[in-house]
Amino acid sequence: MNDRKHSNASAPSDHVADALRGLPELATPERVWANVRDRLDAPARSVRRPLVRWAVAASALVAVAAGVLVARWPTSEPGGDADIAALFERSRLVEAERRATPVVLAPSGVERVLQVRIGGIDALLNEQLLHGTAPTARQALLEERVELLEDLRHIERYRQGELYRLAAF
Amino acid sequence: MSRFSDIRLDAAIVRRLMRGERKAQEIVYRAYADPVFTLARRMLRDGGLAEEATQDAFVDILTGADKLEKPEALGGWIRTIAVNQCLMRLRSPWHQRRRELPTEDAVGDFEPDGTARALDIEHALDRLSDNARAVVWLHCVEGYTHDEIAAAFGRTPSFSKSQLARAYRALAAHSGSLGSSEPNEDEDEDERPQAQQRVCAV
Repeated sequence: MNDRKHSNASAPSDHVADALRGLPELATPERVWANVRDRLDAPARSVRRPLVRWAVAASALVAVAAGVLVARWPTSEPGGDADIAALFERSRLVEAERRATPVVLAPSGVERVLQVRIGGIDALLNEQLLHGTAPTARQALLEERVELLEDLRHIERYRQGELYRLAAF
Repeated sequence: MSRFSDIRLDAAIVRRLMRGERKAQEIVYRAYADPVFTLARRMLRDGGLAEEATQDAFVDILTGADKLEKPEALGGWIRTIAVNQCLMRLRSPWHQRRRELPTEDAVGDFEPDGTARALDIEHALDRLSDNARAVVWLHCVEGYTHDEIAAAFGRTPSFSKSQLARAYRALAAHSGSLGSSEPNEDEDEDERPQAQQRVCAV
């Protein structure tokens, strides 16, 4: 325990602090270094062209829209909490994976379409939050959003892989 | 126990890190990854978020090492960046929303009974509120003072003290050792050793 002038050695707070400090150190998953290394390599390869900046801005817009959506989501979801929670979790994981993938290419046409559709769903969800709607309808929109997000991630990964393959030659 | 201040790296490695050499970056990562990940996992509770915070922290660390003002304070600097990454996530709407949704391991209050007497501090820590968990970890394990915690959270030292007292109560109750003694909120921090270096802002 950090020095405590007024507490004695057997105080519960001391036991708690000792127990916390005695917790074992956790091992970092190996994939974390791989992701860090990829991100360190990315700036050297990226070309900050206007289209790339547009892609970054579009991604940021989607992220902001998602943030607004989450911030305004009602705290109680009658009958749908578990499903909604699972969708949020899936969405969070996909967003995290996308953040881990460096943006080195301008978005393709398909990617732009997906980004626009995701933005549209966010707008619909926000509108429904204002006017109220059945939880099932909101859940369906959230499911579609997650699926589109996953599609977008697959395409980005594929194009990234192609780029690395080309760079290897 | 946090190892940030115990890890010693050769000065030449730190200089190479500051020059951006990949091998030195990996050595520094390997040395500090587990303490950073442990800190993130304890503060954030969620393994996925902890990985994300660790990753982002190291990108900041390895790309910003050239701005390190005191190479000898590398450990404290790394910890500061890691803590900031965690606090950023604790404040995010995504995280707050997820916390509000009931999950299997996030519902219920502490109910110490005969079968729960065994000290399961890790489980109890996970069940604290975000603020209480972060404060108790930073204070007890990382050696942060109440003033430092207040600055990190953008709050007053009273906030830190009350969160700490709340965390102690819950953790002690969970471990079955709840007594009348609580941490004295007027404790004199000046007498506490500054176990960790708190320097360098990139």
